[in-house]
Amino acid sequence: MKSIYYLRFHPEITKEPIICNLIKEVAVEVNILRAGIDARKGGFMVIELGGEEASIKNSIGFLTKRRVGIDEISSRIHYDADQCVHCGACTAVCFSGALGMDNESQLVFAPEKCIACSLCLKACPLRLFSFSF
Amino acid sequence: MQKTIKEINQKIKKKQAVIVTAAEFKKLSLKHRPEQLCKKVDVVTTATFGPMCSSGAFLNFGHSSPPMRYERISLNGVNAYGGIAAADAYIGATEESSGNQEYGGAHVIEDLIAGKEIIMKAHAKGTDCYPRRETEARISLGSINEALMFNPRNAYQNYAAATNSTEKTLYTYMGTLLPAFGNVTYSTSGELSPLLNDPDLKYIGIGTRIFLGGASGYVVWNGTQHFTGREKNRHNIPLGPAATIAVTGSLKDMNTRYIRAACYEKYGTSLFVGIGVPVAVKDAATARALSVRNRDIETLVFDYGMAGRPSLGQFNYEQLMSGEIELNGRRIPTASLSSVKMALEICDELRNRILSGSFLLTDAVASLPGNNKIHQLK
Repeated sequence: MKSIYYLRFHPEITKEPIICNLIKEVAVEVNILRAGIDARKGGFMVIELGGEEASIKNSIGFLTKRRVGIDEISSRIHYDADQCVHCGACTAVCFSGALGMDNESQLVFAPEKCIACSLCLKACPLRLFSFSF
Repeated sequence: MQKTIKEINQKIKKKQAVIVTAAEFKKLSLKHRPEQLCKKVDVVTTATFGPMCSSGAFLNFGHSSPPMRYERISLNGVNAYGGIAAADAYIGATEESSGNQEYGGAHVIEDLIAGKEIIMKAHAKGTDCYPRRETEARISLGSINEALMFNPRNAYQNYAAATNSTEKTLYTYMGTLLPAFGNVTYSTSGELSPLLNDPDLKYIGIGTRIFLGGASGYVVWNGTQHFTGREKNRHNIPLGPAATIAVTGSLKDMNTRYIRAACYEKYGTSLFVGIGVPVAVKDAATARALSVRNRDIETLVFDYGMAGRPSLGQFNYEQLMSGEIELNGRRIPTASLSSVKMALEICDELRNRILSGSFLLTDAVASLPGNNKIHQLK
Protein backbone atom coordinates (compact mmCIF):
# COMPACT_ATOMS: atom_id res chain seq x y z
CA MET A 1 0.00 0.00 0.00
CA LYS A 2 0.97 3.65 -0.41
CA SER A 3 0.05 6.70 1.62
CA ILE A 4 1.08 10.35 1.51
CA TYR A 5 1.95 12.21 4.71
CA TYR A 6 2.78 15.76 5.66
CA LEU A 7 5.64 15.92 8.18
CA ARG A 8 6.46 18.91 10.39
CA PHE A 9 10.04 19.30 11.67
CA HIS A 10 10.74 21.39 14.76
CA PRO A 11 14.15 23.20 14.64
CA GLU A 12 15.38 21.01 17.52
CA ILE A 13 15.17 17.81 15.48
CA THR A 14 16.74 19.05 12.24
CA LYS A 15 20.22 17.77 13.19
CA GLU A 16 19.26 14.12 13.12
CA PRO A 17 19.14 12.34 9.70
CA ILE A 18 15.63 11.14 10.49
CA ILE A 19 14.57 9.98 7.03
CA CYS A 20 17.84 8.11 6.47
CA ASN A 21 17.40 6.32 9.81
CA LEU A 22 13.76 5.59 9.02
CA ILE A 23 14.74 3.80 5.81
CA LYS A 24 17.51 1.87 7.60
CA GLU A 25 15.40 0.77 10.56
CA VAL A 26 12.02 0.15 8.97
CA ALA A 27 11.60 -1.77 5.72
CA VAL A 28 9.67 1.02 4.02
CA GLU A 29 9.91 2.84 0.72
CA VAL A 30 10.15 6.59 1.11
CA ASN A 31 9.49 8.94 -1.77
CA ILE A 32 10.08 12.59 -0.89
CA LEU A 33 7.56 14.59 -2.91
CA ARG A 34 8.17 18.05 -1.51
CA ALA A 35 10.36 19.48 1.20
CA GLY A 36 11.42 22.76 2.75
CA ILE A 37 13.50 22.47 5.92
CA ASP A 38 15.86 25.01 7.42
CA ALA A 39 18.15 23.90 10.28
CA ARG A 40 17.21 26.93 12.38
CA LYS A 41 13.56 27.33 11.45
CA GLY A 42 12.46 23.75 10.98
CA GLY A 43 10.05 23.05 8.12
CA PHE A 44 7.96 20.46 6.37
CA MET A 45 8.27 17.41 4.16
CA VAL A 46 5.67 15.61 2.04
CA ILE A 47 6.48 11.90 1.72
CA GLU A 48 4.87 8.89 0.21
CA LEU A 49 5.35 5.74 2.25
CA GLY A 50 5.09 2.43 0.43
CA GLY A 51 5.18 -1.13 1.72
CA GLU A 52 3.29 -3.56 3.94
CA GLU A 53 0.65 -2.11 6.23
CA ALA A 54 2.81 -3.04 9.23
CA SER A 55 5.89 -1.17 7.95
CA ILE A 56 3.84 1.94 7.33
CA LYS A 57 2.47 1.70 10.85
CA ASN A 58 6.02 1.21 12.19
CA SER A 59 7.22 4.22 10.20
CA ILE A 60 4.57 6.41 11.80
CA GLY A 61 5.60 5.11 15.20
CA PHE A 62 9.29 5.76 14.38
CA LEU A 63 8.58 9.35 13.29
CA THR A 64 6.25 10.12 16.18
CA LYS A 65 8.86 8.90 18.65
CA ARG A 66 11.35 11.37 17.15
CA ARG A 67 8.87 14.22 17.63
CA VAL A 68 8.10 14.65 13.92
CA GLY A 69 4.60 16.03 13.47
CA ILE A 70 2.76 13.72 11.11
CA ASP A 71 -0.54 14.15 9.31
CA GLU A 72 -2.22 12.17 6.60
CA ILE A 73 -2.77 14.84 3.96
CA SER A 74 -6.22 13.63 3.04
CA SER A 75 -7.42 14.46 6.54
CA ARG A 76 -6.05 17.99 6.37
CA ILE A 77 -7.32 19.24 3.03
CA HIS A 78 -10.87 20.47 2.80
CA TYR A 79 -12.88 20.84 -0.38
CA ASP A 80 -16.36 22.32 -0.25
CA ALA A 81 -17.93 20.01 -2.82
CA ASP A 82 -21.44 21.37 -2.33
CA GLN A 83 -20.40 24.80 -3.59
CA CYS A 84 -18.39 23.53 -6.58
CA VAL A 85 -19.52 24.58 -10.08
CA HIS A 86 -17.23 22.02 -11.78
CA CYS A 87 -15.48 24.55 -14.00
CA GLY A 88 -12.17 22.67 -13.95
CA ALA A 89 -9.83 25.60 -13.23
CA CYS A 90 -8.24 23.69 -10.31
CA THR A 91 -7.37 20.74 -12.55
CA ALA A 92 -5.13 23.07 -14.59
CA VAL A 93 -2.61 23.22 -11.73
CA CYS A 94 -3.00 19.80 -10.07
CA PHE A 95 -0.07 17.59 -11.07
CA SER A 96 -0.46 14.89 -8.46
CA GLY A 97 -3.64 13.75 -10.19
CA ALA A 98 -5.77 14.41 -7.12
CA LEU A 99 -8.11 16.65 -9.12
CA GLY A 100 -9.65 15.61 -12.42
CA MET A 101 -12.85 15.55 -14.41
CA ASP A 102 -14.93 12.39 -14.82
CA ASN A 103 -16.90 11.34 -17.92
CA GLU A 104 -19.85 13.41 -16.76
CA SER A 105 -17.79 16.62 -16.64
CA GLN A 106 -17.85 16.52 -12.88
CA LEU A 107 -14.87 17.41 -10.71
CA VAL A 108 -13.45 14.41 -8.88
CA PHE A 109 -11.20 14.93 -5.89
CA ALA A 110 -9.03 12.02 -4.76
CA PRO A 111 -7.48 13.32 -1.50
CA GLU A 112 -5.21 10.28 -1.17
CA LYS A 113 -3.23 11.52 -4.20
CA CYS A 114 -2.85 15.08 -2.87
CA ILE A 115 0.73 16.24 -2.15
CA ALA A 116 -0.32 19.52 -0.50
CA CYS A 117 1.29 21.71 -3.16
CA SER A 118 -1.54 24.18 -2.44
CA LEU A 119 -1.79 25.50 -6.02
CA CYS A 120 -5.52 24.69 -6.10
CA LEU A 121 -6.19 27.05 -3.19
CA LYS A 122 -5.53 30.03 -5.46
CA ALA A 123 -6.57 28.47 -8.77
CA CYS A 124 -10.14 27.81 -7.60
CA PRO A 125 -12.17 30.92 -8.53
CA LEU A 126 -14.63 30.11 -5.74
CA ARG A 127 -11.90 29.49 -3.13
CA LEU A 128 -13.32 26.10 -2.14
CA PHE A 129 -10.06 24.46 -1.04
CA SER A 130 -8.32 24.95 2.29
CA PHE A 131 -5.58 23.29 4.37
CA SER A 132 -5.42 22.96 8.11
CA PHE A 133 -1.90 21.94 9.12
CA MET B 1 -39.94 21.33 -44.25
CA GLN B 2 -40.27 24.74 -42.65
CA LYS B 3 -41.70 25.49 -39.19
CA THR B 4 -42.51 28.89 -37.70
CA ILE B 5 -41.99 29.98 -34.10
CA LYS B 6 -45.75 30.50 -33.88
CA GLU B 7 -46.39 26.87 -34.83
CA ILE B 8 -43.77 25.62 -32.38
CA ASN B 9 -45.23 27.74 -29.56
CA GLN B 10 -48.69 26.33 -30.29
CA LYS B 11 -47.27 22.82 -29.99
CA ILE B 12 -45.60 23.82 -26.70
CA LYS B 13 -48.94 25.10 -25.35
CA LYS B 14 -50.67 21.87 -26.41
CA LYS B 15 -47.85 19.83 -24.82
CA GLN B 16 -47.06 18.30 -28.19
CA ALA B 17 -43.67 19.86 -28.81
CA VAL B 18 -40.56 17.71 -28.89
CA ILE B 19 -37.81 19.45 -26.95
CA VAL B 20 -34.36 17.94 -26.51
CA THR B 21 -31.14 19.18 -24.98
CA ALA B 22 -28.14 19.92 -27.20
CA ALA B 23 -26.39 16.83 -25.82
CA GLU B 24 -29.38 14.62 -26.73
CA PHE B 25 -29.63 16.23 -30.15
CA LYS B 26 -25.97 15.42 -30.94
CA LYS B 27 -26.72 11.74 -30.26
CA LEU B 28 -29.79 11.85 -32.51
CA SER B 29 -27.75 13.50 -35.26
CA LEU B 30 -25.53 10.42 -35.47
CA LYS B 31 -28.53 8.32 -36.58
CA HIS B 32 -30.71 10.75 -38.51
CA ARG B 33 -30.32 13.16 -41.39
CA PRO B 34 -31.04 16.89 -40.85
CA GLU B 35 -34.36 16.60 -42.79
CA GLN B 36 -35.53 13.85 -40.42
CA LEU B 37 -34.27 15.73 -37.35
CA CYS B 38 -36.27 18.78 -38.36
CA LYS B 39 -39.42 16.64 -38.51
CA LYS B 40 -38.70 14.89 -35.22
CA VAL B 41 -37.52 17.77 -33.01
CA ASP B 42 -39.00 21.25 -32.46
CA VAL B 43 -36.60 22.85 -30.00
CA VAL B 44 -33.00 22.21 -28.91
CA THR B 45 -31.83 23.76 -25.65
CA THR B 46 -28.24 25.05 -25.64
CA ALA B 47 -26.32 26.57 -22.72
CA THR B 48 -23.09 27.89 -21.31
CA PHE B 49 -21.88 28.56 -17.77
CA GLY B 50 -18.58 30.39 -17.65
CA PRO B 51 -16.79 33.39 -16.21
CA MET B 52 -18.00 36.46 -18.12
CA CYS B 53 -16.23 39.63 -17.00
CA SER B 54 -18.37 41.95 -19.10
CA SER B 55 -21.32 41.67 -16.75
CA GLY B 56 -23.04 43.92 -14.24
CA ALA B 57 -26.32 45.35 -13.08
CA PHE B 58 -28.25 48.62 -13.06
CA LEU B 59 -29.78 49.29 -9.67
CA ASN B 60 -32.34 51.88 -8.60
CA PHE B 61 -32.10 52.38 -4.84
CA GLY B 62 -35.16 54.61 -4.39
CA HIS B 63 -34.96 58.26 -3.33
CA SER B 64 -33.86 59.35 0.12
CA SER B 65 -35.52 62.07 2.13
CA PRO B 66 -34.43 64.83 1.73
CA PRO B 67 -33.60 63.81 -1.87
CA MET B 68 -30.06 63.17 -2.96
CA ARG B 69 -28.31 62.49 -6.24
CA TYR B 70 -26.08 59.52 -5.35
CA GLU B 71 -22.85 60.49 -7.11
CA ARG B 72 -20.05 58.51 -5.54
CA ILE B 73 -21.50 55.18 -4.47
CA SER B 74 -20.08 52.12 -2.78
CA LEU B 75 -21.80 48.78 -2.15
CA ASN B 76 -20.06 46.72 0.55
CA GLY B 77 -16.99 48.81 -0.25
CA VAL B 78 -17.16 48.23 -4.03
CA ASN B 79 -17.53 51.34 -6.18
CA ALA B 80 -20.65 51.53 -8.32
CA TYR B 81 -20.98 53.99 -11.19
CA GLY B 82 -23.33 56.84 -10.25
CA GLY B 83 -22.92 59.13 -13.24
CA ILE B 84 -26.54 58.62 -14.29
CA ALA B 85 -29.85 59.85 -12.85
CA ALA B 86 -30.23 60.52 -9.12
CA ALA B 87 -31.09 57.10 -7.70
CA ASP B 88 -29.57 54.88 -10.41
CA ALA B 89 -26.19 53.15 -10.46
CA TYR B 90 -24.31 50.44 -12.35
CA ILE B 91 -22.30 47.82 -10.50
CA GLY B 92 -19.74 46.06 -12.69
CA ALA B 93 -18.60 42.48 -12.00
CA THR B 94 -14.85 43.22 -12.09
CA GLU B 95 -14.88 46.30 -9.83
CA GLU B 96 -12.87 45.33 -6.74
CA SER B 97 -13.55 46.33 -3.16
CA SER B 98 -11.11 48.92 -1.80
CA GLY B 99 -10.23 46.72 1.17
CA ASN B 100 -10.45 43.18 -0.15
CA GLN B 101 -9.20 42.12 -3.58
CA GLU B 102 -11.18 38.90 -3.34
CA TYR B 103 -14.53 40.71 -3.07
CA GLY B 104 -15.88 42.65 -6.02
CA GLY B 105 -18.93 43.72 -7.96
CA ALA B 106 -19.57 40.08 -8.87
CA HIS B 107 -19.87 39.24 -5.16
CA VAL B 108 -22.24 42.18 -4.58
CA ILE B 109 -24.44 40.82 -7.38
CA GLU B 110 -24.35 37.27 -5.99
CA ASP B 111 -25.08 38.55 -2.46
CA LEU B 112 -28.04 40.59 -3.73
CA ILE B 113 -29.49 37.55 -5.51
CA ALA B 114 -28.92 35.49 -2.34
CA GLY B 115 -31.14 38.00 -0.51
CA LYS B 116 -28.32 39.36 1.67
CA GLU B 117 -28.19 42.93 2.95
CA ILE B 118 -25.62 45.22 1.35
CA ILE B 119 -24.24 48.39 2.90
CA MET B 120 -24.70 51.28 0.47
CA LYS B 121 -22.79 54.50 1.04
CA ALA B 122 -23.16 57.56 -1.17
CA HIS B 123 -21.74 61.06 -1.37
CA ALA B 124 -22.85 64.04 -3.46
CA LYS B 125 -22.02 67.71 -3.84
CA GLY B 126 -25.63 68.73 -3.13
CA THR B 127 -27.82 70.77 -5.46
CA ASP B 128 -30.98 72.89 -5.06
CA CYS B 129 -33.09 69.97 -6.21
CA TYR B 130 -31.00 67.27 -4.46
CA PRO B 131 -29.73 68.93 -1.28
CA ARG B 132 -28.59 65.86 0.66
CA ARG B 133 -24.84 65.20 0.52
CA GLU B 134 -24.32 61.92 2.32
CA THR B 135 -26.18 58.73 3.03
CA GLU B 136 -25.61 55.24 4.38
CA ALA B 137 -28.25 52.54 4.11
CA ARG B 138 -28.74 48.81 4.20
CA ILE B 139 -30.24 47.67 0.94
CA SER B 140 -31.42 44.31 -0.32
CA LEU B 141 -32.99 42.99 -3.48
CA GLY B 142 -36.42 43.33 -1.91
CA SER B 143 -35.89 46.93 -0.76
CA ILE B 144 -34.71 48.46 -4.03
CA ASN B 145 -36.86 49.30 -7.05
CA GLU B 146 -35.12 47.66 -9.98
CA ALA B 147 -32.09 45.42 -10.23
CA LEU B 148 -31.52 44.88 -13.90
CA MET B 149 -28.64 42.70 -15.00
CA PHE B 150 -27.18 44.20 -18.15
CA ASN B 151 -24.19 42.36 -19.55
CA PRO B 152 -22.59 44.11 -22.52
CA ARG B 153 -20.68 41.03 -23.73
CA ASN B 154 -21.63 37.45 -22.89
CA ALA B 155 -21.67 33.95 -24.35
CA TYR B 156 -18.70 34.38 -26.70
CA GLN B 157 -18.99 32.31 -29.86
CA ASN B 158 -15.71 30.42 -29.40
CA TYR B 159 -12.65 31.71 -27.54
CA ALA B 160 -8.90 31.23 -27.86
CA ALA B 161 -7.16 28.75 -25.55
CA ALA B 162 -4.19 29.92 -23.47
CA THR B 163 -0.72 28.67 -22.60
CA ASN B 164 2.53 30.14 -21.27
CA SER B 165 6.00 29.69 -22.80
CA THR B 166 7.87 31.74 -20.19
CA GLU B 167 9.67 30.57 -17.04
CA LYS B 168 7.22 32.41 -14.77
CA THR B 169 3.71 31.45 -13.67
CA LEU B 170 1.17 33.82 -15.21
CA TYR B 171 -1.99 34.68 -13.29
CA THR B 172 -4.62 35.56 -15.89
CA TYR B 173 -8.34 35.66 -16.52
CA MET B 174 -7.65 32.34 -18.28
CA GLY B 175 -6.62 30.92 -14.90
CA THR B 176 -3.16 30.02 -13.59
CA LEU B 177 -0.86 29.39 -16.56
CA LEU B 178 2.08 27.34 -15.37
CA PRO B 179 5.60 28.04 -16.75
CA ALA B 180 7.21 26.26 -19.72
CA PHE B 181 3.93 25.16 -21.33
CA GLY B 182 2.82 23.59 -18.03
CA ASN B 183 -0.83 23.64 -19.05
CA VAL B 184 -3.39 24.90 -21.57
CA THR B 185 -6.71 26.41 -20.47
CA TYR B 186 -9.80 27.05 -22.56
CA SER B 187 -13.27 28.42 -21.90
CA THR B 188 -16.37 27.17 -23.69
CA SER B 189 -19.16 24.66 -23.36
CA GLY B 190 -18.27 23.66 -26.93
CA GLU B 191 -21.01 21.76 -28.74
CA LEU B 192 -23.53 22.83 -26.06
CA SER B 193 -22.76 26.55 -26.47
CA PRO B 194 -25.63 28.72 -27.82
CA LEU B 195 -23.75 30.75 -30.43
CA LEU B 196 -21.82 27.73 -31.71
CA ASN B 197 -25.14 25.99 -32.40
CA ASP B 198 -26.37 28.99 -34.38
CA PRO B 199 -23.18 29.96 -36.20
CA ASP B 200 -24.84 32.32 -38.68
CA LEU B 201 -27.16 33.86 -36.04
CA LYS B 202 -30.27 32.79 -37.89
CA TYR B 203 -32.31 32.22 -34.73
CA ILE B 204 -30.55 34.30 -32.06
CA GLY B 205 -31.19 38.02 -32.58
CA ILE B 206 -32.46 41.12 -30.85
CA GLY B 207 -35.43 40.19 -28.68
CA THR B 208 -34.62 36.47 -28.35
CA ARG B 209 -35.88 35.21 -24.99
CA ILE B 210 -33.19 33.35 -23.07
CA PHE B 211 -32.48 31.75 -19.71
CA LEU B 212 -30.28 34.21 -17.83
CA GLY B 213 -29.04 33.25 -14.39
CA GLY B 214 -32.27 31.42 -13.64
CA ALA B 215 -34.52 34.23 -14.92
CA SER B 216 -36.18 34.71 -18.28
CA GLY B 217 -34.03 37.34 -19.96
CA TYR B 218 -33.50 38.71 -23.43
CA VAL B 219 -30.83 39.30 -26.02
CA VAL B 220 -30.97 43.09 -26.41
CA TRP B 221 -28.22 43.78 -28.93
CA ASN B 222 -25.05 42.29 -30.28
CA GLY B 223 -22.42 42.16 -27.55
CA THR B 224 -19.38 44.44 -27.63
CA GLN B 225 -16.45 43.18 -29.76
CA HIS B 226 -19.01 41.30 -31.89
CA PHE B 227 -16.80 39.97 -34.67
CA THR B 228 -18.83 38.03 -37.19
CA GLY B 229 -16.17 38.68 -39.82
CA ARG B 230 -13.90 36.11 -38.14
CA GLU B 231 -12.47 33.45 -40.46
CA LYS B 232 -14.50 30.23 -40.35
CA ASN B 233 -13.38 26.62 -40.66
CA ARG B 234 -14.87 24.06 -43.07
CA HIS B 235 -17.62 23.29 -40.53
CA ASN B 236 -18.76 26.94 -40.65
CA ILE B 237 -17.35 27.58 -37.15
CA PRO B 238 -15.31 30.73 -36.46
CA LEU B 239 -11.68 30.05 -35.52
CA GLY B 240 -11.61 32.08 -32.33
CA PRO B 241 -13.60 34.80 -30.55
CA ALA B 242 -16.44 35.88 -32.87
CA ALA B 243 -20.10 36.77 -32.23
CA THR B 244 -21.22 37.96 -28.78
CA ILE B 245 -24.55 38.98 -27.24
CA ALA B 246 -25.64 41.75 -24.88
CA VAL B 247 -28.23 40.35 -22.48
CA THR B 248 -30.56 41.60 -19.81
CA GLY B 249 -32.86 40.20 -17.12
CA SER B 250 -34.04 40.96 -13.60
CA LEU B 251 -31.83 40.01 -10.65
CA LYS B 252 -35.07 39.58 -8.72
CA ASP B 253 -35.87 36.45 -10.74
CA MET B 254 -32.36 34.98 -10.64
CA ASN B 255 -30.88 32.17 -8.62
CA THR B 256 -27.37 31.92 -7.14
CA ARG B 257 -27.14 28.42 -8.57
CA TYR B 258 -26.73 30.05 -11.99
CA ILE B 259 -24.91 33.28 -11.06
CA ARG B 260 -21.70 32.86 -9.08
CA ALA B 261 -18.98 35.32 -8.18
CA ALA B 262 -15.46 34.27 -9.14
CA CYS B 263 -12.01 35.46 -8.16
CA TYR B 264 -8.97 34.78 -10.32
CA GLU B 265 -5.67 35.04 -8.49
CA LYS B 266 -3.81 38.31 -9.19
CA TYR B 267 -6.35 39.17 -11.89
CA GLY B 268 -9.47 40.03 -9.97
CA THR B 269 -13.13 39.25 -9.80
CA SER B 270 -15.47 37.99 -12.50
CA LEU B 271 -18.93 36.53 -12.70
CA PHE B 272 -20.00 33.02 -13.69
CA VAL B 273 -23.12 33.58 -15.77
CA GLY B 274 -25.45 30.76 -16.74
CA ILE B 275 -27.09 31.35 -20.11
CA GLY B 276 -29.46 29.04 -21.92
CA VAL B 277 -30.90 29.58 -25.39
CA PRO B 278 -33.61 27.43 -26.95
CA VAL B 279 -33.04 27.10 -30.68
CA ALA B 280 -36.13 26.43 -32.80
CA VAL B 281 -35.52 23.68 -35.37
CA LYS B 282 -37.22 25.64 -38.16
CA ASP B 283 -35.65 23.80 -41.08
CA ALA B 284 -33.08 21.21 -42.13
CA ALA B 285 -30.30 23.81 -42.30
CA THR B 286 -30.90 24.68 -38.62
CA ALA B 287 -30.85 20.97 -37.74
CA ARG B 288 -27.55 20.61 -39.62
CA ALA B 289 -26.01 23.52 -37.71
CA LEU B 290 -27.27 22.05 -34.42
CA SER B 291 -25.50 18.78 -35.23
CA VAL B 292 -22.08 20.41 -34.74
CA ARG B 293 -19.74 18.32 -32.58
CA ASN B 294 -16.75 19.22 -30.42
CA ARG B 295 -14.44 17.78 -33.05
CA ASP B 296 -15.82 20.28 -35.60
CA ILE B 297 -15.21 23.28 -33.34
CA GLU B 298 -11.64 24.46 -33.55
CA THR B 299 -9.74 27.21 -31.81
CA LEU B 300 -6.23 28.61 -31.60
CA VAL B 301 -3.88 28.27 -28.63
CA PHE B 302 -2.34 31.64 -27.75
CA ASP B 303 0.92 32.10 -25.88
CA TYR B 304 0.03 34.54 -23.08
CA GLY B 305 3.71 34.86 -22.23
CA MET B 306 4.66 36.61 -25.49
CA ALA B 307 3.77 40.13 -26.64
CA GLY B 308 0.95 40.00 -29.17
CA ARG B 309 -0.02 36.51 -27.93
CA PRO B 310 1.11 34.56 -30.99
CA SER B 311 -0.88 31.48 -31.95
CA LEU B 312 0.95 28.18 -31.40
CA GLY B 313 -1.52 25.87 -33.06
CA GLN B 314 -5.07 24.95 -33.91
CA PHE B 315 -7.02 22.32 -31.97
CA ASN B 316 -10.58 21.11 -31.79
CA TYR B 317 -12.53 20.81 -28.54
CA GLU B 318 -12.60 17.02 -28.64
CA GLN B 319 -8.80 17.23 -28.31
CA LEU B 320 -8.88 20.04 -25.73
CA MET B 321 -11.55 18.30 -23.62
CA SER B 322 -9.63 14.99 -23.65
CA GLY B 323 -7.33 16.25 -20.89
CA GLU B 324 -4.18 16.79 -22.95
CA ILE B 325 -2.97 17.99 -26.33
CA GLU B 326 0.29 17.60 -28.19
CA LEU B 327 2.00 20.91 -28.77
CA ASN B 328 5.46 21.08 -30.37
CA GLY B 329 5.96 17.37 -29.71
CA ARG B 330 5.09 17.63 -26.00
CA ARG B 331 1.97 16.39 -24.29
CA ILE B 332 0.44 19.24 -22.30
CA PRO B 333 -2.44 18.89 -19.83
CA THR B 334 -5.55 20.91 -20.64
CA ALA B 335 -8.21 22.32 -18.36
CA SER B 336 -11.49 24.12 -18.76
CA LEU B 337 -12.63 27.32 -17.04
CA SER B 338 -16.24 26.97 -18.14
CA SER B 339 -18.48 24.35 -16.54
CA VAL B 340 -19.84 21.75 -18.96
CA LYS B 341 -21.71 20.13 -16.06
CA MET B 342 -23.59 23.36 -15.31
CA ALA B 343 -24.24 23.91 -19.03
CA LEU B 344 -25.82 20.43 -19.17
CA GLU B 345 -27.92 21.29 -16.13
CA ILE B 346 -29.14 24.55 -17.70
CA CYS B 347 -30.03 22.72 -20.94
CA ASP B 348 -32.16 20.35 -18.83
CA GLU B 349 -33.70 23.12 -16.73
CA LEU B 350 -34.61 25.17 -19.81
CA ARG B 351 -36.09 22.11 -21.48
CA ASN B 352 -38.29 21.51 -18.42
CA ARG B 353 -39.43 25.12 -18.37
CA ILE B 354 -40.45 24.95 -22.03
CA LEU B 355 -42.20 21.63 -21.49
CA SER B 356 -44.16 23.10 -18.56
CA GLY B 357 -45.33 25.95 -20.80
CA SER B 358 -43.65 28.64 -18.67
CA PHE B 359 -41.09 29.56 -21.32
CA LEU B 360 -42.15 30.26 -24.91
CA LEU B 361 -39.90 30.93 -27.86
CA THR B 362 -39.61 34.29 -29.61
CA ASP B 363 -39.01 35.51 -33.12
CA ALA B 364 -36.10 37.97 -33.16
CA VAL B 365 -37.24 41.53 -33.87
CA ALA B 366 -34.03 42.24 -35.74
CA SER B 367 -30.94 40.28 -36.74
CA LEU B 368 -27.55 40.75 -35.15
CA PRO B 369 -25.03 42.30 -37.54
CA GLY B 370 -23.23 39.87 -39.84
CA ASN B 371 -19.75 40.32 -41.27
CA ASN B 372 -18.88 42.78 -38.50
CA LYS B 373 -15.31 43.95 -37.92
CA ILE B 374 -13.64 45.03 -34.71
CA HIS B 375 -11.13 47.82 -34.16
CA GLN B 376 -7.96 48.03 -32.12
CA LEU B 377 -7.24 51.14 -30.07
CA LYS B 378 -5.01 53.40 -32.17
